[in-house]
Amino acid sequence: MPLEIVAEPSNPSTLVLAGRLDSTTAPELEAVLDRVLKKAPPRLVFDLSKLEYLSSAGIRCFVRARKALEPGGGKVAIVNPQPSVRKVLDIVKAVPAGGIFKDIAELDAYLDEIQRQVRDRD
Amino acid sequence: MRDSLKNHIELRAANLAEQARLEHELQIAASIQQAMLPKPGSRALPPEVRTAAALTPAKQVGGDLYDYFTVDDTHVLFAIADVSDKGIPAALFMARLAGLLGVVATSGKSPDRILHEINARLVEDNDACMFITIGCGLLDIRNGHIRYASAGHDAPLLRTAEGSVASLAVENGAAIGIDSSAEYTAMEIVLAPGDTLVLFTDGVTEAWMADGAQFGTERLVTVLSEAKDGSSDALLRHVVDTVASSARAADDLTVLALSWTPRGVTWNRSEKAMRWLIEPQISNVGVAQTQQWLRSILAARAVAADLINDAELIAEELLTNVVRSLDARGCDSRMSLDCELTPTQIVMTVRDDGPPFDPLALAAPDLDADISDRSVGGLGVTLVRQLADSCRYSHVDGHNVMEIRLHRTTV
Repeated sequence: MPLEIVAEPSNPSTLVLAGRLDSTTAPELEAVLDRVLKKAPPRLVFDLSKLEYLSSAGIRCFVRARKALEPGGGKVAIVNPQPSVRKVLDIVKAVPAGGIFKDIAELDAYLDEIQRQVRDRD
Repeated sequence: MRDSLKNHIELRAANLAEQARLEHELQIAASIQQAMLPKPGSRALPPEVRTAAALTPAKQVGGDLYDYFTVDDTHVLFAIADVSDKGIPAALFMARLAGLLGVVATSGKSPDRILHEINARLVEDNDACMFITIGCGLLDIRNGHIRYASAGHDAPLLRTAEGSVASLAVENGAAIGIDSSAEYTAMEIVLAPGDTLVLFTDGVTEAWMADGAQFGTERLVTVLSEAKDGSSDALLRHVVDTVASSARAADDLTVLALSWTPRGVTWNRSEKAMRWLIEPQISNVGVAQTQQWLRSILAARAVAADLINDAELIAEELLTNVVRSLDARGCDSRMSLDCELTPTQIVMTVRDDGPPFDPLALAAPDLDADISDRSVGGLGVTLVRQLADSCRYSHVDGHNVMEIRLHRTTV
């Protein structure tokens, strides 16, 4: 199964990836990232629940997104990777500890918490 | 007296003429029936599929059928069937089946659906109450995956490249032609290059030996596993010759052998291990194909899913690096992946004739660096090191040789 990318116009910006993200299909995600990163969203979420295979060519996309967004205070989060994909993410520390969430609800709770902290500070 | 003798002679002559006419018609019927079967090369199969088949009717015409044809760019359908009874009625019913198979199966449906539909159509107007046992499979030529469904037919035998033979664990539904509500279930298997699937009708297993015993499935298993050459052609010849020389067929006798032979993959068997050599073109497409073939080989040998994933990932990382270095060189180069399988481990060896380059000598990227300092590359080799149980680089005879070992968790 090749790669399928669905950009959800939700808040935060979410890219749902399904199938295989490898050296053959990574250019498709690179092209989508070209567009998405230009808008410099404060948060970018990769939903990996339907991703079956991930290689270093795909991980480079995640690292690239982090390099583009994090220096400006943005955040890249990964949601619900399957075990085989999670293993690969962990080996190369693609996102920092705490950047991988088991589902959207856990991510939402985390984002709410951050927002609350920001409000409290103000 | 003279008149009655004359009458008798005339009657006899007329009978003989009638008999000759019937005989002639039967011969025509037989040749029409043979023409319904695919002849070698007549079905324009893709090069990834090898078939070999033989059908010997017990009478001039019979009720056995085999067929195979291309359904779409990526799938080949194959089937074997046996109509209850022999002779003309069976032959006519078989002709109906052959026509239906061509119509129903070209839609690319799963074999269980195909059997369901053919059954529904044959049950209507089946006043002669004939029935058919049939096995039907759909081969994906990209990856050797087969979906197979069976309606009361003997399970096919799979002879692996290693030479072992076993029956497919088919879930048989009712023979078709009887019950319109019959349901069929498809099972899935994966062929490795070098494996051959052998389908047969009971004319083979129920042929009579000189000692009064039937040929039997066990003997067929033995015959197949003893064959030196496991190709579809050789296995077919071996089975047909063995049955012909040792048994007397009482029924139509049909054998269909089929194997998946992707271009660029060869195999050989030694005492200790089975090896597949994949020689892809030097491109991302070649890498993706290699991954696919490797996955099929390992899946066909029941390697655990997470280990298949690791092996595939290692292959992709190493081969994409090779493609990048050979592409930059821009000349006629070669790369290959050798996959050796033993009961305890997978040994993958990547070879290329590019400039000497040891990926393991590269400094490992700092995975804990601040994101702005972090390099985007170098992650592939990190993955290979972490996933492999051992990896070793050497430069031998002008070739880069990277050997990776993975321990098998299941046997």
